[in-house]
Amino acid sequence: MSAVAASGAAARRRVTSPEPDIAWHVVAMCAGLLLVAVADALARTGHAGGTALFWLGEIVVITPMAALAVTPARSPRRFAVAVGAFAVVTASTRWLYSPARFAFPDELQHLLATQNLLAQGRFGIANPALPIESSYPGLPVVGGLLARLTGLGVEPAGIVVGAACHVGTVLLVAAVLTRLLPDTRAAAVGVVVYAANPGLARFMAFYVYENLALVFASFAVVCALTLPGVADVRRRRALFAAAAVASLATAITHHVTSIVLPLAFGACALWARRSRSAAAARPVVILAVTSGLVTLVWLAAVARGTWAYLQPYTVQLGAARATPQRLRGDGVRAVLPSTPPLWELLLGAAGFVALLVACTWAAVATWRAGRRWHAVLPAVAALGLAVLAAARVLSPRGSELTGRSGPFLYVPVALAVAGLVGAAATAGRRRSVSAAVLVAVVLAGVCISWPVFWERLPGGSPAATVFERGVDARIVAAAEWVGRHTPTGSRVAADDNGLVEVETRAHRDAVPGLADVFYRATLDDRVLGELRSNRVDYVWVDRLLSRAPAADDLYYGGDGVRYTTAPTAAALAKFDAATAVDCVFDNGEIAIYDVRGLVRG
Amino acid sequence: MTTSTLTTRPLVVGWTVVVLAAATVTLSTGGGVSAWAGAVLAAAALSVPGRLGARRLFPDPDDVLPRLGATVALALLVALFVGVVLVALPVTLSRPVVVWTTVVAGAVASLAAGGGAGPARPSRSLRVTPARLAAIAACGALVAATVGVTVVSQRHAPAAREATAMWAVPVSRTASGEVVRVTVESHEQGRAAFVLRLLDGSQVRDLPLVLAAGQQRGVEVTVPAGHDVVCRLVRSDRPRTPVVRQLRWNA
Repeated sequence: MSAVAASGAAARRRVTSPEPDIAWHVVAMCAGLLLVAVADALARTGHAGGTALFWLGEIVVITPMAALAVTPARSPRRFAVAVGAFAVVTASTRWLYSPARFAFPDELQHLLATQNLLAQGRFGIANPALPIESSYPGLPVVGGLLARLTGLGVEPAGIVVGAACHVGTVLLVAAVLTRLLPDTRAAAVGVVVYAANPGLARFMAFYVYENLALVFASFAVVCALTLPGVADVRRRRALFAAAAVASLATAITHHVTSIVLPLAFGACALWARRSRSAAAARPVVILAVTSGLVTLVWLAAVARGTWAYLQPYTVQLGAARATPQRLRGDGVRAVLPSTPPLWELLLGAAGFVALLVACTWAAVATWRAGRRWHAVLPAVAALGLAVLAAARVLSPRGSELTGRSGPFLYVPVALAVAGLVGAAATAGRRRSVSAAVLVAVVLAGVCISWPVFWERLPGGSPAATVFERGVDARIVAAAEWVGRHTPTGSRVAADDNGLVEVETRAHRDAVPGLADVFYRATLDDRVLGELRSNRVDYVWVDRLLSRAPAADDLYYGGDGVRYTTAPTAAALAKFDAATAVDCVFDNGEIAIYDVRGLVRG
Repeated sequence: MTTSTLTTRPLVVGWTVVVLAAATVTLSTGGGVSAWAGAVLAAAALSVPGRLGARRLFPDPDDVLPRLGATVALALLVALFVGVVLVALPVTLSRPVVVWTTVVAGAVASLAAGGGAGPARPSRSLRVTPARLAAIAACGALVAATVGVTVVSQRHAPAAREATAMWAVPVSRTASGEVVRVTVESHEQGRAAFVLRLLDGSQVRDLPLVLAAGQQRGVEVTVPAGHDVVCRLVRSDRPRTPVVRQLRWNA
């Protein structure tokens, strides 16, 4: 073969098969997903080995993305395909966990709102499971529309909406990174750092309102970042209108995101002013002001209860103090059958500290280089991480706060870290080391992710009361029975898990704060008084309460008192032989008693 | 030749999908639309305007990430605003109303986003090489295996094998007492034999039941006024199995 022919063949190979390896990156991610699926299946069916396989699957999913991040040459299209595949694969892990049903109380709260909206077809329906949601109808509208449109149930439709939110957010955050970072090399590093946020492992694919708002807000920010560089007037108007509409959608979907968005627009305006001109930044400033006004109007006119809803979180943060349990892992009692392995604690902490140090270093280095405005972003990232670390250790809801704030906070973190190490990561022999470090950082994010370690896989040891989970087949069956066979408007007393199910899946009035009903040894006057004064019709007794360890330090709550000891089996069985009490449901763990004869007699 | 070239025009494909989806709904009206047809319709009605809008906002073909992300965001925005309008209007949120409103809104949004006058869009080429085909096949196989493992493990999870539920609901009240329906549902794997023992004072009545997995059997019991009836369910094919469930009814 002549040299000309050989070079022609090589050129043709380049044309016909550009960057063929990217497809195999995607294959590797799919293989990792299969490993996670097998891990979930093993755990679900009570077999050992699930945890090790889960971590192996996570490594296999992350490694192609990390490898891509340290590869010097990559086209925008190739990068986009990799990010898209990564987003779809990571969104799928939520489906693998619970394919047909919502499994977390937060999702159940939104299930109730969506079902109410579909049943009554109006806004403002009270949601006892999450009162503030009646002021933020965005998610129930989208979930309800998709359910009605497809003929799917609300839960499968909600799972699809959650996955779409996860994929959309990851793609748009990657778009933000490509806009702000110098090249796709740095942007790829940024995507991997963003993947270390504790919400990405599962929370970002939940059917919860902040996830939908996050897509809208990310889209608005991408439009705002694109706007200053566009010369065509029609396109500028289209981008402005899209950003404005997305910010309106954010305002009616989620409180915190709608407060953060004007600040993000403000940061975009500063960037536009510094990188282009004051004139170029003007439309973004208008967007920031308009978005802030829309949020204020919504908060003042419609969502007046928002501050009262958010206040307990700030109070908890202010009054927080460390306990050994929280340091060990998320308020989980020492009596739980498993505590996180030491390596998980160390890796989680090391990854977090590494990001904190990198952001601080980036802020200091940028400041010393005389680029003081540019130092603001890494400084904000470092400060945010420091606050998050304090909340994680000190607050009883540290794990929840970490999971919820991660998708927001890790955008500046990814920008700061990628800006600092983006170029260095692809340098010469250190590439494999850099890739390994990036994989470790993402795994560290999974270690501190929310939901927490003991519910990372489905099945497993039961926990009596669980804020973050607590939904399994026995509870679902009992709740569905209550919804089918008890009169509408029935009032049901239950423990915390039961209360959520009674309200959301059974659509009955859940009656909290009746500790005596569950803790008193006999059916005495105090129990009777509680039942009568609260007009209770049914009592839901979960026998697991007496013998399973409690997560979240809590066996019973709801009336402002935290009951951290288990009720005895005898106390729970006191209704079995009571006169005028019918045991109308028994599935082995959960018994439901009809106490109407007792209360009204 | 190892390479084939597929040329597509997204605008044409998008509109075709919308029309096909609308036709699916039209043909299915009255007979019920399957979830799959509904899913196709939803994808068309929501993602086509999203796709076209994204192309208009980000016309640079290399701006792939914003385009993909904007497609998702715009589809969700269309869903949000169609839903808000529907809820705000005094209409019932029935399936046909939701479906047709979304189709019309999707078509209008598509027209506004991508159907107007503008520069001609270049055709895009999708090059399929043997290596890429092999990778696509491998991805398909892995995804199929993932779905299979998940679905099968769901069916065999211990939670779904929990013993037996036993439910009681009042059916009616007669002169001789209350009629209560006791329902037994088996969640055992395969067939399982039970005995439902009804204890009414000195009387004892045994009802044998053989149930397949997931099968329910209802038994009506008359409870005389002033009496208690206790229903115990035991496994008869496993003599050592104790009482598994117990209900109680006071008339």
